[in-house]
Amino acid sequence: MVRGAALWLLVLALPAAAQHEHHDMQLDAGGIVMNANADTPPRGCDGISGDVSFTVRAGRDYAGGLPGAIFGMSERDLHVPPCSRVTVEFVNEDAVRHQWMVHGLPRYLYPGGMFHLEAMGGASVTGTFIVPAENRTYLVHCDMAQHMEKGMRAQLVVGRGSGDLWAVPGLTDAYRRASYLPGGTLGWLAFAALLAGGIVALLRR
Amino acid sequence: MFAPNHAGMAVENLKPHRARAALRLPAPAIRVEQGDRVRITIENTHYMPHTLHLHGADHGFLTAAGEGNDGVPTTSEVPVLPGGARTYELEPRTAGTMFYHCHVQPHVHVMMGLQGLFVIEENRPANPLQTLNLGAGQVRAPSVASRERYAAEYDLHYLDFDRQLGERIREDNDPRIVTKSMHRDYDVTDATSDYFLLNGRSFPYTFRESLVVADEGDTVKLRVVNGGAKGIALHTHGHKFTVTHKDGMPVPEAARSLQDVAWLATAQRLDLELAFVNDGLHAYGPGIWPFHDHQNAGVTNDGIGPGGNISAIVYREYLGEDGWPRTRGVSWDPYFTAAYYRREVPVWNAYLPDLLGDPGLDGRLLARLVVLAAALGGLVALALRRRRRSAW
Ligand SMILES: [Cu+2]
Ligand SMILES: [Cu+2]
Repeated sequence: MVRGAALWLLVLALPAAAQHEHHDMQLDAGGIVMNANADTPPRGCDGISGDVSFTVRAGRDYAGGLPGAIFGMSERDLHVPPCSRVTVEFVNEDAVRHQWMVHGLPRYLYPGGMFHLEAMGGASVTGTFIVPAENRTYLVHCDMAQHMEKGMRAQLVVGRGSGDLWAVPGLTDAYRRASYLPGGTLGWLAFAALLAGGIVALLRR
Repeated sequence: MFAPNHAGMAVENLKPHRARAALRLPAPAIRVEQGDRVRITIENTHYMPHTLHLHGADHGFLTAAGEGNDGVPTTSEVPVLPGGARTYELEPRTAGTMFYHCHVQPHVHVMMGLQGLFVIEENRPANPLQTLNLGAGQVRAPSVASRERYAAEYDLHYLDFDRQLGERIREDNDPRIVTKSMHRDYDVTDATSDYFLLNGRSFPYTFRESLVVADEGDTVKLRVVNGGAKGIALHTHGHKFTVTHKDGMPVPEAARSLQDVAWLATAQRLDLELAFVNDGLHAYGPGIWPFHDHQNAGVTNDGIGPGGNISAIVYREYLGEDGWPRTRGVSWDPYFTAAYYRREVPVWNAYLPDLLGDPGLDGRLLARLVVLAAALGGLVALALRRRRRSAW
């Protein structure tokens, strides 16, 4: 008899093999918290400036109304003060796993520069980290293959931030807006411009 | 595609977007045992609807709970939606080499790689099954029935790809645009296959992952599936094999014969028995003996050969310490360069560069033509000037 007949076949996508850098990882049946940090402020912070907490809900239901999105997150534009201790409760309402991953954090404190929550389908995970002192906008995404491209893209703005990221659903424009013009629009525009130029040139004579 | 359940990123880095080793297609070979109650959960992390269809495996039309269990949207169930999951059930009464694939828009989804080998092993006590064979190739833990007869067992999954289809998912991020491109603009009746894979790789990488290795005297089992759009004329050098099973069912002894080409129609499975016995019938002695689709396109990468699904039967004495066969022919270095498959390297550049290398450009002839053209232009200009002057 074969033991453990339950097989998990995940259509399209995801992670493998151990990370190259050592990560601090807490793992349970509901998910993973990677690189949690509730105590050590990043360099340039005089201690922890305060506590902020968010609940982020994720799943197909949160893509509704966002053009071109299949998956979504309830919060896509998060603002926190510099040096604050941020606690995120990540609630996954889908039946497949999702992630809430911040990139670009200081590597001496967060291996790989990231803080990462992963919640199994129907589960929630909570994790805490401390943001640096600079005004900066960080990318938040789910790294399940194509989930960022299909709607799970957000920004975490520390202080005044460093400008909005492109293609955050509901906040900034899509990467390729030309896709939404009628076919051949650019050709007709070029033709119209040439025609107008020709007419002007003829009238001037 | 198979997505092992693991923490972290799917890709090695954000830039370049290179997939981790375990993220690959086609989906892994699955092994279960005859008579087991098997539950397979498909977690649809993808942005399109999909299902699981257990091709050839003994499964009910409905699950015990009365849900659709055949994976066909038109006849048994609404597909698993993005973010959703569904468990399929089976208790197979018959052993054999079967197949599984998505059955949503199958002319597109199956051809994009949503397919895998599904093996039901004979029921034996204490059967050490390797439930998943990621990337197929050698079965590291063969079943009791397999060990009784064979020194080794290999899963060989053939597949071909149409570049015009594969490129469509990269055209845009918007899934509405991508799904229209794949399922409405793409016309499979006008399709041609460009890439030919064995276990998800084309030559020369087939030699890294999908060699059949054995010692003289061994008998080896190959489970072969053709998941591609076109048939495969599977040919072995140096050996004649016996087809023991077709589509999982045993071929009667009286109907078996030694062959060196076997035809596999789309979705067909054959179990082959290779005897490494140097008797002039089964085998012709130790060596590195290629095996490949004998149709011409199948041994190329987009029309450049060698490529495609070429791999080899290698006697262990011909295997180097690094696991690479000690080949005796030409250098393989060009085969690992993109330029070779971009058609930029002359076919016999490696050993006949002077005779059959790049013909190069004739700079002197080009310079003479430029001078000639300039001189002609000057003459014409002179002639025109004179005409104008004389007209005034
Ligand atoms: Cu996700
Ligand atoms: Cu599908």
